Amino acid sequence: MQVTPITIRNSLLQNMQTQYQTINQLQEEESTGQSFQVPSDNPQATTSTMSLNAALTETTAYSTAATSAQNWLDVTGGALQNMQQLWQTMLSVTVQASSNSLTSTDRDALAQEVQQAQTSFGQLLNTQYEGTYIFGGYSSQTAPVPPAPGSMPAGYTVSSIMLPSGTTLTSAGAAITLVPGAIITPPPSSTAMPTSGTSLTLPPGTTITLPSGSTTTLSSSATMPLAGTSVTSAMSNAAGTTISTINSSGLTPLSETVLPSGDQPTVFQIGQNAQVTINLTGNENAGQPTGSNYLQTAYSALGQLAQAITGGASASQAMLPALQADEGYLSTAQSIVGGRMQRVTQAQGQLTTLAQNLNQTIAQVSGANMTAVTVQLTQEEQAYQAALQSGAQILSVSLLNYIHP
Amino acid sequence: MSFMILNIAGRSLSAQQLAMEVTGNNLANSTTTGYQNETANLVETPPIPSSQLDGSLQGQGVSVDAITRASNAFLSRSVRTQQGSTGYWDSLNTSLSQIQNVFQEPSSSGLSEAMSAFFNSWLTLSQTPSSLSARQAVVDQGQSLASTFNSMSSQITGEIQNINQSVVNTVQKVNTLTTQIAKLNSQITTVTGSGGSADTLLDQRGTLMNQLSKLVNISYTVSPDQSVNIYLGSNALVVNQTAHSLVTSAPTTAYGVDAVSFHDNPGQVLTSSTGLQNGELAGLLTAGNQTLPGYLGSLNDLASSLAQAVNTQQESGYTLNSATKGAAFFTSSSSTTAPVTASTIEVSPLMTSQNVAAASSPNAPGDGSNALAIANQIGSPEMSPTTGSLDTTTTGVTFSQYFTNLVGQVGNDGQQASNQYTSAQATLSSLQNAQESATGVDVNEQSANLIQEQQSYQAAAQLVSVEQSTMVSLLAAVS
Repeated sequence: MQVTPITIRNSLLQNMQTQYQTINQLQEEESTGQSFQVPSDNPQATTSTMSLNAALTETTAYSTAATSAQNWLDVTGGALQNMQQLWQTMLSVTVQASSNSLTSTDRDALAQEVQQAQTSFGQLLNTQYEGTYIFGGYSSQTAPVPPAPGSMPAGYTVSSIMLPSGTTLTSAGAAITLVPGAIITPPPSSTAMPTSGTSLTLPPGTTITLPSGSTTTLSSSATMPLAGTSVTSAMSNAAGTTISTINSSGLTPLSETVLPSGDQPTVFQIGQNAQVTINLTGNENAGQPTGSNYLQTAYSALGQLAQAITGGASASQAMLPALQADEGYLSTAQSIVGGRMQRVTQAQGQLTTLAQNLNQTIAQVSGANMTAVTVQLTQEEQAYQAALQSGAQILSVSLLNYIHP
Repeated sequence: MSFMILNIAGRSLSAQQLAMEVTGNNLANSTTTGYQNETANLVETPPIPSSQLDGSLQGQGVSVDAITRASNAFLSRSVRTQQGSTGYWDSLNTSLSQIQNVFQEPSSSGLSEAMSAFFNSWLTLSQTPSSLSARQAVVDQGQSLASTFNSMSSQITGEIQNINQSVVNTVQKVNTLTTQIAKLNSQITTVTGSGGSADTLLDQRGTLMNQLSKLVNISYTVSPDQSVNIYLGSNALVVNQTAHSLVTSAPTTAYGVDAVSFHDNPGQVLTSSTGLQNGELAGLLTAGNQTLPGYLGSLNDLASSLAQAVNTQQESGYTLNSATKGAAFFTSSSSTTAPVTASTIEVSPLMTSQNVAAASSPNAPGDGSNALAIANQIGSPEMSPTTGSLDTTTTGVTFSQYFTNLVGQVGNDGQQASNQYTSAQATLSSLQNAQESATGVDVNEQSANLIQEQQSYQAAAQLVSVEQSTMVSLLAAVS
């Protein structure tokens, strides 16, 4: 075959172009650390990396969800632990109150402690995580126990009081005076405070202390003029008075708690087929009677206990089995949270390992082998220089250079 | 003694002079594109009967019979056929390598990432369904996903428009070349008809035919009068001195490039079935009518199915703390009733963070189960890999798998075009080298010829000198 300058030129240029492309490719690999820049460089590695990346993103999202679930469960577990501690105290208070040797002052003090405990329990039920009431179910923005009842400022006198039908009062004719410490639920704002001469609807659970004497039974819901009847704080114990609770007369106690009535699970996805419920609503099966909410039951029990303590030793003792049952529910709930926590922790461990493996595989599939690339680049550079040099020399030489006429 | 020797020397001098001129011309054109090596054919001048020896013939020296141009019809055809193939893969490779950047995956700004981010924002929302910021994040990620779709779509459409411009330019180039070839046909016929040599014109026409063969696949026949007839499939591009021009007309498909047909036969659109199988023009039409619109179609299917799946789920849920069902999340920017495509997809202008339907139950701000159902769409089969329509059965693939397949296809097409182009280029190069070897100028060969010719010339000159000195001694002897 005859080789002409054009043949040499074409071959040289084509070879150098190929070398240049290789150098360009290697240069890109070295500067980006990726073995491919666009899908056509290596379609198979591109699609593998995309699938792996999608799996990694998903894993990271599940991992974030698992962390968030862990925090939720931590907060829930913490609240339950506090409830259990509170319950221990309440049990010992109950045992103490079951003694006949206590004076009524002692009982009042204990009852007040119980009532404080109920407030604390309510606050625990109102525990929030990231702005959500964790025991509220789907009503995540409504406090399960509405804000603590406010105290009635001193100096307010009410001339009449509206009581529901069936309420029995042991005395009539006395002025009702709200004294500091009286509980009104919901708390009236200071501007909406009833002024003297207006009617006031007393919230459920309010205890009215009346002087001993006559008994009045209301035939219907009505505003009853009770001039001079004194409504003191719940625990007022003036000599010679009988404490009568409105609870026993037709009012639903503690209806102000708005805990969910059914399962309202907050479900976190912590794996492709793994979901975990991270909230408690009190309706989970913790051994309570079907259809009842054990958190609700526990909260009510504290209100009943306060009344039972003021009621006497035997009434207090009668509360003990119910309180013990509640303690059982709370500890079962704690173990439910523990079980969920274990699942989440386990899932998180798996997700972390998976993410590490995925990262490693992605690096293997898409990462450039820097050592090989660097060595290859050096080789290519040398070959390119050699091609340039030899090309320049060969092209400039022909037989003409040696003709000396 | 006669002056015959001077005649022989004179012929030799002029023949060698001419041969040196031809060699010089070859050397001068050794790098001229399309130049074909010429040779001065030296032949012995017909001998005449010897005046001294009865019955013997005596040589009369050398003369140039003709100057012939090296040619190899077979290699010329092979090169031109290969030019067409190289041109086809060249234009396809160029178009596809540009589109690779549109599908630059994996990338933090790519569609794959945008889809993941969108569905992950729903997952986050499912955990904090009442959080307005989580809701806003869903809307924002939806907008980012929609705009990624929009920009990819507009980049592909833009690329199709670029290809269209190239189609128009290529058609103009083809027309220019065929007109020039028709003109050269006419000149060549005139020159050869008058008995002259049309070598230079033939070289020029050959170069133009090479250029033309790169643009479209041609076949040709050479007439005895050296004019050439060129055909594209079964249609003639050049017949003797007439060129048949190509024209472009409005595209025949929704997303495509202009249709190309013969001016004389506008009804027959040029495709691979009507003869246009190779060359840059065929490559551009393949890219602009099939490959790129195919990608755009897949992207539209993805956008439409994704919007449909999200909308259906969103419409079955409830908006924040209300008993109102959700409204469509993705809508078309062209009109509310138009189908959603990659170019028109947008988050409904009515979509506020409150209107995101995260809950499956009414009036349940803490319920994120509907958001979870949407978030889980990323991992479940949603689309048919073949038809691109919604398919939630086991034959379906996930949105990201569908897109990954599309990127794989784009990558494979690009790689194939690139590989084919490289190998076509290598084949063309070797064919061109073979042609160059057969018809090109070898400087060394010509240099050797030059030395030979120079020496022959010197020998002939010496002959004159010998004759002269012989004559001088003869004249001296007789004077």
